[in-house]
Amino acid sequence: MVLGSMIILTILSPLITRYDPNAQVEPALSRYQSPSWEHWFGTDQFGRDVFSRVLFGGRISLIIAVSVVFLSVMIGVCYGAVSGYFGGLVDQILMRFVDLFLSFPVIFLVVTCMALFGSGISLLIVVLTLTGWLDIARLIRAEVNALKQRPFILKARAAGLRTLRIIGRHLIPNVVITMIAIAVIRVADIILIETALSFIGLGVQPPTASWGSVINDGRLVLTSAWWVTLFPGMAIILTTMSLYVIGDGIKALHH
Amino acid sequence: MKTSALLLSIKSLQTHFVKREGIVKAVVDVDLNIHQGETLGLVGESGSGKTVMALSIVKLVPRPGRIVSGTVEYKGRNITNLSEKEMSRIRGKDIGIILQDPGTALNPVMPVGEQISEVIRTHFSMKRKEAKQKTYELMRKVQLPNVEYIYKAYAHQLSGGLKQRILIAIALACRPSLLIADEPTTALDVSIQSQILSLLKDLKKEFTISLLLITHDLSIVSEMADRVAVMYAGRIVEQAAVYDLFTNPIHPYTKALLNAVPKIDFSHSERSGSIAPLEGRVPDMMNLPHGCTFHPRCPIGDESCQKDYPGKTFLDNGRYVTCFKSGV
Repeated sequence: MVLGSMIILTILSPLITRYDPNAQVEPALSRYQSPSWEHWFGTDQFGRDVFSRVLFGGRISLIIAVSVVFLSVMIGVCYGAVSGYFGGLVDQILMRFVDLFLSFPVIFLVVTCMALFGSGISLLIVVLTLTGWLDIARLIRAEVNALKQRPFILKARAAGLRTLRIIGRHLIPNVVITMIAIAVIRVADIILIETALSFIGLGVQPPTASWGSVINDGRLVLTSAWWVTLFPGMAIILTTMSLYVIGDGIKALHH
Repeated sequence: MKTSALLLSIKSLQTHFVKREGIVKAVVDVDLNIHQGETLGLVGESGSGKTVMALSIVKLVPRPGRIVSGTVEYKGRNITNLSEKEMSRIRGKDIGIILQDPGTALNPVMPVGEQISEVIRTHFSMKRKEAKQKTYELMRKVQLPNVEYIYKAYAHQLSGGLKQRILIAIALACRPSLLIADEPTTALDVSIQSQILSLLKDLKKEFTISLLLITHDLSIVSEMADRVAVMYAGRIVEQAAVYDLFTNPIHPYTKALLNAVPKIDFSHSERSGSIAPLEGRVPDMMNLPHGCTFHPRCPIGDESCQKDYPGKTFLDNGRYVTCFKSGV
């Protein structure tokens, strides 16, 4: 419910707010206005409407999180399924590769990439995907490894089905629930990572709003203009909380 | 029947499982011939290597199992050294397999009809619709009711008997010339068992296929098979025409098996009702007895049986026995 309304709100954000999230209206007068009928969540240091920044920021945050998760689940599932199905040497090599990359600290890697290639939403998506598919691959590999011992896979092989078909039509459909459960929780994780990165100035760059960058804007004036940080913070908590609950629900349903 | 062409010929096949604790010789020196149109029954206790034997034919022995030596010839062509790709063309198309336990042999998240038609589409280039029509036809052949409805059903919605019919349809989808049925009725109720058996009999006639019927149930063998091979601890100890084997078992293990089954036979009053259980248990496959593997349980064996494994004694009518003491 909460999640649904959050998604709808962010998708429809241009229709809901009267204010351009980046428009600076009469800076001198409208800076740091507290919440009112005019500006529900108040305004920030440039007189921008925080409500509309939270909505548009949510849009960016969700777009990043969903695309990262989509891409990393795709890669992770294919990689994990192949590794798990073939087993033996192939599995050994593929999994050591995963272990190698998993041993890189994510934040450090992102900081390095940002420093090297500059920052931008698409780069952020690429970097988070590259670090995000690894443990998904590992989880899926474990599932597939257990699954391939089941008689119906032997039946499929005994019927002469091609390997790709067995992986694509018999193994992967059987891990879909695990896949969705991981994906949902992963969206929340990525939102938090993206927020953290934007907060330290490495993620989404100003003036574009994301939940992290809006919080960052309000960081210095936390005691006087609390609304700038409180509302995006609430948005993050509500979204990630409901994602975690849903993810757990799917897992519970499965078992 | 004996004159019909040889379809499958297994020569001194050995399948071993190499484990850390030792080597399990699951199939040892097995020779077996299956002729066109014939039913060969393979009987033996659980763990005697019947299933591994069946999987060896189509090269699907699970790791760490491996065919160590011997050949399998299908229609005169050695298939033991074929690549996985070539092998997958034979599986399902030339050799159909029905695995143990229909309960778990179907993919739980794919409609069962799809699982039949995907086999057809794998081996024949055929459009989806055409394959679906073929599948309906096949489903009617295995006497499934309501084929349109069952096509879309999932495995958990069907009873064991229906699932087994689906699996038979899968195995027969491409009209193979050999069907390997591994305990096709063990997991089913008795009434369903007889239905499935008579269905197999009918289909065998209609499709003119050979059948390798693996079971531990001697009554099924006596009803279905033309010839019988008895397996013990990975070896075939006796092979004979079904009538010869049941009327005159020679190997002491075969005799013991037949005596362990209750008979409803009122004419031979001294035999009926008396069940003689076979003493002892199947030997530890990792630690087989020396010499004849059956000697610890054998009623007629003596010290001489502990030295070497007995060779094959060939008798008439294609029969052979591996025993020193059976007096032949």
